Amino acid sequence: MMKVEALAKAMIDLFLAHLIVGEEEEVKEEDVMFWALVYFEGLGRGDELKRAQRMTREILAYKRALRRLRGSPAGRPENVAALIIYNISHSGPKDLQKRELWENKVATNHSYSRIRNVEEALDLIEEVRGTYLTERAISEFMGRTVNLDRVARFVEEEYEVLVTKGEGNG
Amino acid sequence: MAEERAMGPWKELGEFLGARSRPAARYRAHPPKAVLSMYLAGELPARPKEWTKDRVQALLAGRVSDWTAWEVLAHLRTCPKCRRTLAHLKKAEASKPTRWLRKVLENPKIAGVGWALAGAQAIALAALILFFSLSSPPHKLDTKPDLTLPNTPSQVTLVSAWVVPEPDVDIGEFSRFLHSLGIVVVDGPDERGGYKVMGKEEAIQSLFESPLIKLIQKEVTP
Repeated sequence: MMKVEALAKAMIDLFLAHLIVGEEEEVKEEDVMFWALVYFEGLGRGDELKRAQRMTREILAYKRALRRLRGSPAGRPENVAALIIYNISHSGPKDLQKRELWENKVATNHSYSRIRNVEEALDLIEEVRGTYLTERAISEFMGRTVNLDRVARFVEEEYEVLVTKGEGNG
Repeated sequence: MAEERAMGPWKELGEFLGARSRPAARYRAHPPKAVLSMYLAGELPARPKEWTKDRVQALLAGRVSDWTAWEVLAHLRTCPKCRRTLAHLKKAEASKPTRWLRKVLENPKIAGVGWALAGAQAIALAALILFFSLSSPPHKLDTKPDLTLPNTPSQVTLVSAWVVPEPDVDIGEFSRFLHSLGIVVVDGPDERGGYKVMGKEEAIQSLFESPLIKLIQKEVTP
């Protein structure tokens, strides 16, 4: 039978993919919490509830920042996608071959504007993981300069709100 | 190292994404082809009303009675067999006759119009080939223009390609853009919204760089 954590991982990747394409309304708090719990229970290393709550808060913080930037003069919602892509690229073991492939792709006109649906975003997650891209490379991919530190501050603020007020604000 | 830090709240997510994947087990059952076809056509409901432990068990076994798009997608990400099936279905879908051809087959009366259009396309293609055959490096002003057809085959390589414009591109703009490159449309649109175009190799090559084009498949005409 398929391993439960593999299935939960695919579902959590799906939440991230929806955020990357800007469909934040698809990321529902109860669903995220459910699959995060399934994932950590599948791993069975203890502290499942706490870790699931923390992961849910992290995902919801990106969702809230995305929503906050929609129609706001403070920045563009796609900047949140840029931050997510950057962070995914800084996860896992470093893979220089993947990084080279990805950079070549960006050099040949592969840009964020071509990521239109969740399937493409899921492929992107696979592609960038472990590439450890620079902010400059992310800006090149987005087609403009993105101040990732600034976006990260927005997301941190939203995370703090979730910690102090509970997850009911997702 | 500054280059290696993640930004923002990313602790659990970082560990989650960085975790080494365990060897994937296999599903005992899979979504039926009809479900995959419905998924391709966007006809499945987005997600179940509620995910429960029983539903997770059904998903893990690959035996769900009412598949949703989310679940099919999650299954596809974890099942190479179904990814291959889906790729075959997509291919079969793409090779189906176009809506226009189906119409003609159902109603032969309109085939006449079709043949007239095909004839017009053939004439346009012939004119294009003649144009490229005659085009040569610019003549000096003091030399007599050579208006005769060359005896040897033209050295100009014509290339045809199928191009699919970006969905938000206006067709008028797309057509003007092709015209500016000396490229002509010889067929289409097909079901993907793609057009068969023909032009000089360098002109076709420049399409790869264009932000107006979503997909391009090149074919070399001898």
